[in-house]
Amino acid sequence: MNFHRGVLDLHAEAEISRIQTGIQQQVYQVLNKHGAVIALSGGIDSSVTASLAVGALGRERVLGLSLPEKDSRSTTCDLGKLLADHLQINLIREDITPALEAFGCYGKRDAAVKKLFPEYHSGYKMKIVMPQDLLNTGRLNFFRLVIEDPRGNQQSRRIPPGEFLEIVAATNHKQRTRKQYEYYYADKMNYAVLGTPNRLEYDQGFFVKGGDGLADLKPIAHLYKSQVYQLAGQLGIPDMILDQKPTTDTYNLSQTQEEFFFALPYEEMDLFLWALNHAVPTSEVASVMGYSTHQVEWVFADIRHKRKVAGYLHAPPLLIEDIRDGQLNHVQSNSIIESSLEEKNENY
Amino acid sequence: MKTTEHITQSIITYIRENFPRARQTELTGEEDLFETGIIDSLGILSIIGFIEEKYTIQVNDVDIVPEHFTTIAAIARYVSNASNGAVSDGAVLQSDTNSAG
Repeated sequence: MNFHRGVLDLHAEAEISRIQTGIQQQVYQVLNKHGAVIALSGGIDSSVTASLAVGALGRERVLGLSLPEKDSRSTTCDLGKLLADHLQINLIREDITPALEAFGCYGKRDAAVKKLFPEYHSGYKMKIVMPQDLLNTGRLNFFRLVIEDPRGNQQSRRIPPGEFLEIVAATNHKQRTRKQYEYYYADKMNYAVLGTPNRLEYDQGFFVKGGDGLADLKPIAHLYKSQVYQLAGQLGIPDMILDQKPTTDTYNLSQTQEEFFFALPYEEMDLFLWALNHAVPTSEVASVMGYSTHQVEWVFADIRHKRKVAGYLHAPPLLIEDIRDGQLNHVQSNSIIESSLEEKNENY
Repeated sequence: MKTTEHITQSIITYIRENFPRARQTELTGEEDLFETGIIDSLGILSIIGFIEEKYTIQVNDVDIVPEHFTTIAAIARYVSNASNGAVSDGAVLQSDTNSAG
């Protein structure tokens, strides 16, 4: 397939129609639910997902949730409300900070940070980052902890594995607690939970297992991030949301998705991922994108390494013996739907 | 002074004991540790911690590249060079705390 910078251009109107038909079929026919619950982060993915759901199910059958905690950006709630008002859907706000405090999320995270930086206290901010020089060095993925004191001075240190796992395990409470609330309202209203990953996130495992990775339906998981923006334009998502730089909104120190996971701007990573998915020769990718073949190989290797980890995140519970025959036919029917969607996605 | 062969065996033992996927794998030292799924970004941090402590070297960020960490043999060569003082800029005793600001 011919590779060029426009390969991700799509017919937004037709794709919106196709996804909305899929949402209707899957929510009503496959899942047998009355509507959809969506957590609104104020970001582009949840905004597009909610807008698609409103078009598919009607605004009265879509519930938006705003689920901030004390480390959330101040704009999280504002943009979530902006979107809910724009779509004219009900929005329920639940501050998840008390739940996270009860889990010990902040205390356990801070205790791990203090092992590396004893001076760290509640007035400090922190985040985890990856080095940003993938295209210059081909470096392997590893993580550094960055702290910022109340006067804005920053320090960073490479994180030993034990402390890294402690921090990640503690902060994963955030995504899993949000999912608890999503399923609470979904159960209460007999609604489905819509997940909001785009293809970059879904493919490379940028989600928490049992947290934001958990959903009944993920309507935009087949779309590259650039394509999500194309749909957003067609759907009329407010400019204030479109103009936001994608963030993790996980740590209290401002952090982009590039810093934490993807290493490259989404526009570039989308094209690399498409090229890898379509077996475009390295030399052709290098020529079109203006990089060396070494740089292309480094990015391809980075994607492959992340996919190894993503395999575990995507995996359903393993069984010693296959029992899909008989009583679990409903699982098979869902898989058929998924397979059907995957086949359609290959057409892009 | 440790030979590269000694270092290789030591790393193989460490990986066998600490990485579940390596427990039932015959390690030659030349297999790609990432492509085989034996280690990931967390594993890199673990191996670096091991060689820094065991061989009293300090690995700087600039050295965490495929050339030095894709295979056990490459790691052993890196450690051997670092132990002998014939290393790249990164593998020297120096502060691991950098300014991020």
